[in-house]
Amino acid sequence: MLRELLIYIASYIGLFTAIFYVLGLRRRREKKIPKFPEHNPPKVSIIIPAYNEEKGIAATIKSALSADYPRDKFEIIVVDDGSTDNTYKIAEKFKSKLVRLFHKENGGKGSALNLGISKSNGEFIFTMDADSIIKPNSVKNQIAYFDKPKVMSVAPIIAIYKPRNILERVQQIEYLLGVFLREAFASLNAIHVTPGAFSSYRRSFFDKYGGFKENELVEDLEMALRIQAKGYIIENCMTAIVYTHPPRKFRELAIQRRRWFVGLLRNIAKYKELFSRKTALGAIVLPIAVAAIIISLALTSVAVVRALINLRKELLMLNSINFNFLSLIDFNKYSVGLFLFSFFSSPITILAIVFVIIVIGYLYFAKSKVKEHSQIAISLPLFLVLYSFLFAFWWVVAFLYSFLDKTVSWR
Amino acid sequence: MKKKTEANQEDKDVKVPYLRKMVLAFVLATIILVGVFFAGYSMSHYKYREVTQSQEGLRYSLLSFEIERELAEDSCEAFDPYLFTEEMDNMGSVIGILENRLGKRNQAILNQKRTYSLLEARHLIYVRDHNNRCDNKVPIIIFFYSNIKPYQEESERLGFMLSTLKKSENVMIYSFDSDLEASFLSILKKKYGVEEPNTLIVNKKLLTSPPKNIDELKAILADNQIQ
Repeated sequence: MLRELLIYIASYIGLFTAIFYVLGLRRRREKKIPKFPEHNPPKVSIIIPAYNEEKGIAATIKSALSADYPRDKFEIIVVDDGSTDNTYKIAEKFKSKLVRLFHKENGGKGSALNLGISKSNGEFIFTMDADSIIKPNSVKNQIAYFDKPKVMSVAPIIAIYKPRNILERVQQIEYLLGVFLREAFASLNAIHVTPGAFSSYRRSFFDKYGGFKENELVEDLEMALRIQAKGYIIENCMTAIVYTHPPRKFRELAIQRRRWFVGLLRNIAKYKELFSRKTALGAIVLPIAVAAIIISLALTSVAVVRALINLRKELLMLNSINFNFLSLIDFNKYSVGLFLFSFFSSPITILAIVFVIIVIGYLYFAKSKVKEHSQIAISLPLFLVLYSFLFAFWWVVAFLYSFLDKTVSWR
Repeated sequence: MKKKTEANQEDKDVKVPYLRKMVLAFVLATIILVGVFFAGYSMSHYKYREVTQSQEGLRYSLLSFEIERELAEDSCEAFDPYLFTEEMDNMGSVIGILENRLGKRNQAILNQKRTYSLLEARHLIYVRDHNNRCDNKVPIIIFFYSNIKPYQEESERLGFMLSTLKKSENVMIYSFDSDLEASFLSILKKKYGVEEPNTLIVNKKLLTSPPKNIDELKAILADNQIQ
């Protein structure tokens, strides 16, 4: 009964959220897409912090160099954060008038970004992960969104580049859903993460409020919440696409998500003033995010307890029939009808179908923006089956780490 | 003046109005959720009507079969106790699901359960009469279960064991809800001396304690063959 109640509450919140975001998006679509100031383009700097990224740094620098932007108003700054591999040597091959390279002792991404910002000349700063690949028009398209003085940051679309294994496919769908969600958040000025993969900032914000927090687990999230806390706007550019390589192994993914989720918890506590603001971010988006976390943990706890109780019961029952699993197979002319009725008459099943339709709707929207996408039809079922378990697992780990005040590392 | 207007507009841009969207989202979410429950209830209600019709059909079939048997000369040899087994098992399963969907105290479901139990009892009498008259006897197990704690778990275990037994042995199993208020069930319980749930009667012998596993049940069945 408790499990069903939690599911219905979570479903109601989910339905409300989904509809709310769709309504926000409808208004957003009426908005004109701003134009890039061709007559007077501003100077931009792309900062690429790198730590042990010898595999991807060359491709990242090449893609940054491919940006369609006036060369006299453009620079790339690579900051090697004390790498122990060949990152610096590989980056050195790209040193030129356009590409400057700096080396520092390892101090974390935030410190590397801040060094890059201090060495840069651009009016607008792009932060780029050392394994990101951008499209040539990404820089221009994002700059266009700084048409209003209150816009302090612009986020791009993040997509996964050619997912290969199960985990990457699950993340592929997650990131595509993020395409819809970030645009919906932008319609409400409720973006709360400016992805480190390739986001842009107005330099004046750093000058006035400081750079990235060093020793911060999620410097991109902290920066976004800081921008929101100061009352500025974060825009979303649907025509700036960035491809990233997600963690391929479970352990790497778990470490990343542990960092993200512990970072989120800490920054939500740090910027709790946002909850008292009469904005969509404070009144709806952040509370829903917190509610989703709490319900997810509650459901996980109930599910685990129920599973243990049911396991005992199932073992007793199977013991009664000497664990003869073959005898469980029973098929007659009524079996299919009975199963279909039992399955589809449950409100929980019907709600699950509704949410699958919503997810497909979100993906349809995202697909129209991210033209290159690999085999979503294969990735979607994997996502639907695995994501809720992974999500619950990550949050349990994050809460344990936060509750026990354990140190969370980047890697 | 122009700058002040622009500043006001920018402020308005930052504080995006969302209250109307919130209200609309609440209303639409409520409509969808109610719609979901209505869809589930409608499916259950449709199935309930289907079961009611099936019960009518089964009642006619049982009566018709008995009359045909009475009129036939070689009624013992032509006897098939499993003729309606699948249909009745399906009916019982559907009623079980409807109980979960619509509630165990739902009067319509309770009435269906009584009708179903009556059909079971009718079939039981039919097989008992056959066993009394003919040599090709059919073993009978009667099981009184309960959906109420603390009996429920043991009832599920015994029910599971009996369902498995049915697949490997030629035996007729009749399960009755011992908490169902029906006069014929009270008579049946009194006849066999049933005092509490999770009681099995194997070929007219009341078991003092439920069997622990299927092997024990098979042994009891072998030891208590119909004379």
